[in-house]
Amino acid sequence: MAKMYLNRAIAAAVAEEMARDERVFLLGEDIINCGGGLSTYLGVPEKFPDRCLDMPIAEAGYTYFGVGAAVAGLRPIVDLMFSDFATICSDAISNGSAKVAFSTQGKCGCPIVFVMANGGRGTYGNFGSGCHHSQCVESWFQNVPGLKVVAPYYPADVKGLLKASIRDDDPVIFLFHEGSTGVSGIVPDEEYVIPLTNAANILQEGDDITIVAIQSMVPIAVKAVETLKKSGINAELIDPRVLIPLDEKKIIDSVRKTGKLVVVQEAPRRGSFGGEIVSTVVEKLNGQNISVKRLGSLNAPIGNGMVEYFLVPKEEDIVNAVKELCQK
Amino acid sequence: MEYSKQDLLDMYYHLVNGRIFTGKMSQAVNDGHIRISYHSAYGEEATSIAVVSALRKTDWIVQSHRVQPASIMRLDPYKFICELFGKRDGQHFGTGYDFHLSDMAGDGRLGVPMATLGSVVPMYVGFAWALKQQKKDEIAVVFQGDGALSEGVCYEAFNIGSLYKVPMILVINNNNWAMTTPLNRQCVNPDISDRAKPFNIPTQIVDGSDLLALRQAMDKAVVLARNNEMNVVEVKNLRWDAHYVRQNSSYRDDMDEIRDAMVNKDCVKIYENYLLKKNLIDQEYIDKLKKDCAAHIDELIQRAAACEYPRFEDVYRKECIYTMPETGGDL
Repeated sequence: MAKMYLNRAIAAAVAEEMARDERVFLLGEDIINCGGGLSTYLGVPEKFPDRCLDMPIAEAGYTYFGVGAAVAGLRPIVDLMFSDFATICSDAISNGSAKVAFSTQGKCGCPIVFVMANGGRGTYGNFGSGCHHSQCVESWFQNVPGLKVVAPYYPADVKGLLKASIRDDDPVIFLFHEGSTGVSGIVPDEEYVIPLTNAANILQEGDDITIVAIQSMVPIAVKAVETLKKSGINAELIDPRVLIPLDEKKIIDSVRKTGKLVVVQEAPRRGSFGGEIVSTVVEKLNGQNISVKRLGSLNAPIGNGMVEYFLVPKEEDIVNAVKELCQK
Repeated sequence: MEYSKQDLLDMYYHLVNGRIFTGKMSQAVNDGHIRISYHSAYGEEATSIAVVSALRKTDWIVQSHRVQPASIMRLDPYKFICELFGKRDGQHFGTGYDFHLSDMAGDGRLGVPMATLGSVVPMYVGFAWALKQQKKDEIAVVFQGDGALSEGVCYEAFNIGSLYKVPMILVINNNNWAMTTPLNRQCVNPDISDRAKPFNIPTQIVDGSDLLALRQAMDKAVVLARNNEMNVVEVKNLRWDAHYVRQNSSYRDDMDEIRDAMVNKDCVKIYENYLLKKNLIDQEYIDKLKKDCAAHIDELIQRAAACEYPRFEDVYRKECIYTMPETGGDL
């Protein structure tokens, strides 16, 4: 077991999969000279020079390039640097890759992974990069059937799930958190893959309330759970890790037990994935007495610098939400 | 370049069949069999025929507006008509129409198209690069219209395609109209292929009414593409029909030009006269061929009209939404 920074975990996953399958290739901006805009592929271009493509600053064009290559039988990893740039290539992702299986009636798939840094550095109180480099975009893709959305936090999860995403025959939006590229964690030495199905991880068991924390909110929720213990509240903490397909069963089973659910995410509250999780749970547990609460960023664009921190949910927000529900 | 008698007659067959098919589909709109916009290839059929004739069966074409005559050279025309009619015997159970029609697994080699305009240009730059990367001796030909070439991604594609040297041809069907907007209200320079030149992409401009000239241009383009040189062939056509069949075309201010083109610039008549002059065909041959093609297409239309519409379970199978249905969650 080695301690590994998140960017190294991504590079290791990509290198292992490129060694395993020669159809896998990597394309994006600044791949060759700095291992991608966020240095997530260090060492990969040296190992696989024929399968690492530097692209001009043309996200729409090269994302379509990837979709075409996937249709032709290769398995591209398209690096988009920041997830905010996904809008530039949303036609290639949402109208292109997501529709291939259906429009060929299952005769052709689109095995492609779109890798992007999600969220902002301001989430953890650092100087943030503003409204075009800090957004959490997982909710933008939830309404496009055909896409899968993976949003892990810890390096070990990132590595295992990225390997599964590359092996997956469908288009996958793979989001790692921008604020966590400098986060290190224990990553197993041996080869492992974390399947995209049933991927939710119960980080803490508890009977009083269920907390579902998405990506950047996981470490904050971990702290909140510890704080709540001191007040005698035993919260069950779930990290879904994969949003599509969502591991509904673990979440629903937990809420059936606790009767209370707090969902916390960095994305703006309105129209968010957290709302989808709440809806799913409420619908499945109709007739039972359940209280729910959604926590998310304010419905506002993100400013540069320290103001980013104003918008995002914090530990005390989770603690207060839990206490509010537990008092009822 | 000299073409064999068989080659010349094959092209004539496809041209006549394409023209008759085009007319019959317009009629099918009037008869209520086709119930969404049909973008007729009327007057532009030679473009389709020249492209497909110049290719090997292993090369790829990507469907767009007004290239149905190309599609029926590659695909069972019954399956294609069923797609247009939305019937379950279609290539994709009638869900594809022509915009979403592909044959990735069969012999047709129709690439997956996109109905958002311009997007297939970068997509098939990537596709063609993947063909090269896999050492397949195949090329891809993408059709797009003059209107689609206003999409910005086309120019990202020119840049990436020339940088990565891909075996691809872009055929621009410049028919002077983008829906209801004439070319002179879309851009200043009517030669759209000029826009590829700054990317060091070779370009040709050809008259769409001259099948042989088109074929020669395509032959040159194919040689370039097989050498991994992405290139552009711009075909100057005139759209004889409205944007879609039965569209009110009162916006057209070029009716005299169309009437003149129908007499003097008809690709079928021009090619027919060429073959007559070379004594490769005679009037009897022409009449018989036209009669046979019409009878065959009529029969297919009748069969397609009698076919059922798709059922829910034909189409919305989990493996059609996600290739790995077990990972796709609930429908």
